[in-house]
Amino acid sequence: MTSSGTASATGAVRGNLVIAAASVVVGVVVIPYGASMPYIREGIPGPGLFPMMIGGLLILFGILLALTSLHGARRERRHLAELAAVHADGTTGPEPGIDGPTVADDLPASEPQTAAALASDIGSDGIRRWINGAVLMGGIIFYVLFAEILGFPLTMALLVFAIVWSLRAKWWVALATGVCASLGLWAMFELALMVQLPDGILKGF
Amino acid sequence: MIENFGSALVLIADPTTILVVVLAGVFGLVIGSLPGMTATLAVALLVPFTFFLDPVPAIAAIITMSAMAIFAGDIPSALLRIPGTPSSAAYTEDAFALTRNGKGALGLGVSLVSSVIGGLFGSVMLIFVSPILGEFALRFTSYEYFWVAVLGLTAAVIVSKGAQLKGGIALMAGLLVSTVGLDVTLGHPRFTFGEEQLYRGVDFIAAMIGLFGLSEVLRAVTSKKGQSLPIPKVDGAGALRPTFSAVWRNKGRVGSGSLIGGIVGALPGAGADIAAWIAYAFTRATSRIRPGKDSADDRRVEAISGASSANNAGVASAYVPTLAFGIPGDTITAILVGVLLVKGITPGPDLFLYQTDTLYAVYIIFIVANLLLLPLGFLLIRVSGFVLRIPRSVLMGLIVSISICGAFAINNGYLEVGLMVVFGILGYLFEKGGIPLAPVVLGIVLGPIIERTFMQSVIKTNWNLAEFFTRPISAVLIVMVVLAIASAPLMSWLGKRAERATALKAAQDSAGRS
Repeated sequence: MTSSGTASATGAVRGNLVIAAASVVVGVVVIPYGASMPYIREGIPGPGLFPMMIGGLLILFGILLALTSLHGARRERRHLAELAAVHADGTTGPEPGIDGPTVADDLPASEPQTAAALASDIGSDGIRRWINGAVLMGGIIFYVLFAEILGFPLTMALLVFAIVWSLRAKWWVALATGVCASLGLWAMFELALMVQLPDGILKGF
Repeated sequence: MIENFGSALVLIADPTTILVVVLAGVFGLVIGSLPGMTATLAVALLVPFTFFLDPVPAIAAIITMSAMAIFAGDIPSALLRIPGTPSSAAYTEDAFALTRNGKGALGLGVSLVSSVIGGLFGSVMLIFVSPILGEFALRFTSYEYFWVAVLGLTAAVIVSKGAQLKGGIALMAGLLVSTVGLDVTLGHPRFTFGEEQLYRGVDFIAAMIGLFGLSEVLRAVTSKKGQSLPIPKVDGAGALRPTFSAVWRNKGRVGSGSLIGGIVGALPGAGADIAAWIAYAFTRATSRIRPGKDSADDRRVEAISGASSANNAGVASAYVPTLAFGIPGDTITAILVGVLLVKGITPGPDLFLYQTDTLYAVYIIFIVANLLLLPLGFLLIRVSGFVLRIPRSVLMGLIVSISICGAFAINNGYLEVGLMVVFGILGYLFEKGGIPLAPVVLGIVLGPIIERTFMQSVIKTNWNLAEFFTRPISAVLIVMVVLAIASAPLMSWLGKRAERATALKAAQDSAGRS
C-alpha cells in the first residue's frame, strides 16, 4: 500500500513536470505569433493582445506548477507515512479495499475508484489496450473517409460493430448494437430532425 | 408576476416539452447511475439534440437531466462503493456500509427524498435570489461585464479543487481555443492555419462532445483490466414508509444541508460536489447521535440526508449567477450558456427585462424536474441492478455513434467531426495528467465575452485603464475576484484536509475492527 502510494505520487510529480514543460512550450510559441499580428496603431496591439497574454500566463503557470508539485510531493509522503503507521497499529492489518480514498497528489477522491469500475468490465492488458484505442480512432477515420461512399447506415453499423467487438463482446451482441445504433440514429436524424446524412450506395431511403 | 407564470406554463405544457423532459430525465438517471459516466458527459451527448429544439424544451432537457443525474450518482455509491458522479463521493462509504448491513433500500430512499427536498429548496432560492442580482446587473456596462467574466474565470480555478495551477493551465487552453477565428477588433484571422472554415471559430458543441464524450470512451477502451464487482441486491419494495420516517427524523439535517448546498452552489465555481463535502463535514461534526455499535447506521443515514440534500440544492442554485450575470458557475451551466447563446438568448439581466416568459419557464422546470425525480427515482432504485448490468462495451459503441452524429449534424460537415476527435484526444490527455476539464469549458465560453468587453472598454476610453478600477460596481466586483482567488487555496486546503482526515479515520476504524 505504502510503496504503491509513493510510486504513484512520484509518477504524479513526473506527470506534472511534463505538463509544466508543455505549457511553457505552448506559451513560448504563442507569444511571437501574437506579436506578429497587426497592431491597431503604433504600440497598441489589437488581435494579438489576448494570445500574448494567454501565452505569458501559460509560461507563468507552467513554472509555478513545476515548483509546487515538487513541494507537494513531500507533504503527501508524510500523509502516507501517517496512514502506514495506523495500519501497523492494527493487529491483523487492514482489510483489503477499506483503505479509504488515499489518492496521489491532485486527483479528487473519486477518480481512481471510478477508473477501477470502468476497468472492471472492458479493460484489458498490455498490447490489447493499444489495439482497442487504435480500433476506436481508426474506426472514426474510416467513417470520415467512407461515409460518403458507403452511406451512413452501413459505415456507422461497421464502426459500432468494430468498437463493441474489440471490447470482447459476443459477435452477435456487437452486430445487434451496430445495426440498431445505425438504424436508430438514421431514423432520428434523417426523419425526425431533418439532418441530411450521407446516403452513399444505399440511395432511395 | 402571475401572468408571467401563466404564459410560462403555456410554454411548458406543450407536449413536446413534456416528452423531452421525461426522456431527458430517464436518460439522466441511466447515465448518472453508471459509474464513470458523469452528468457532464450526459449533457454533452444531449446538446446536439437540443440544437433542434425550441429554447424552452432545450433548457428543460438539460435542467431535468442534470437534477436526475446528480441523484442517480448515489446508486453505484451504495451498490458498488463507486460514486457515479463526483458529488456523491462524500458519502459513498456510508451508503455502501448501509447496503452491506441490509439497509440499502433505506439508504437510497433517504438520499432520494433528501435530494428532492434539497433540489426544491435550491429552486426556491434561485427564484428569489436571481432577480435581485439581475436587477443589480442592469447597471452594468462593459467594464462591469469584464469583471464579472473575470470572476467567472476565477471560478474555473476554484472548481479545480486541489489542482489550481493545472486549472489555470486548462483555463488558458480554453481561452486560447476561444481566440481561434476572426478577431473582434480588426477581423484578423487567428490560429486558422489558412483554413477558411475556421474563420467562425472552433465550434463549441463539437468541442464539448469531444472533451466529455469521446475522451471518456478513449479512456475506457484503453483502461487496464480490473476485477469485476458483484452487484448486491436491493429490495426496493416496502421501503417507502421507513424512508419517510427516517427523513422526518433527520429533517433538521436535510434543512441545514439544503441551506449549505443553496449557498455554496450559488458561489461561482463552487458547485454541487464541494457543497456535498461541506454539508457532510458539517452534519458529521454537529451530530447529536451518540457513537456506538447500534447507532452507526443512524449516523450514516443522518450524514446521507445532510450531504445528499446539499448536492441537489447546489445544482439549482448554481443557476443563480448564470441567470443573473450570464456567467456560468460550473461545467453544466457553462454548456447551458453555450446552448442559450446558440439559441439567440443572452443569459443575464436582459432575461429579466425582455424574456420573462423564458425565465419563469426555467423556474417552473426546476420545480417540475425535482418533483419528477421522486417517482422516477424510486423506480430506478427498483431496477438499479439491471441498469448497472448494461454491458459497458455496448455503451461505448453507442456513445461513439451518437458523438459522431451529433458533431456532424452541427454543420453537415466533417470539420466538426475532426474537431471532436482533436478535442477527444486533448480531453484524454488532460484527464491522464489530472488536469480538470471544467476550466477549458469556461475558457471557451467566457473568452470571447472577456475579450469583447475589454476591447470595447479600452477603445471607448482611448486606453485609459484607470476606468476599470475606479467605478463603484467595478470596485465591488474586483474585491469579489480577489476574494475568490484568495479563497481558492483555502478551499482546496480545507477540502484536502477533510478528505485526508476521512481516509485516516477509515483506516483507523478498519484497524480497530480487525
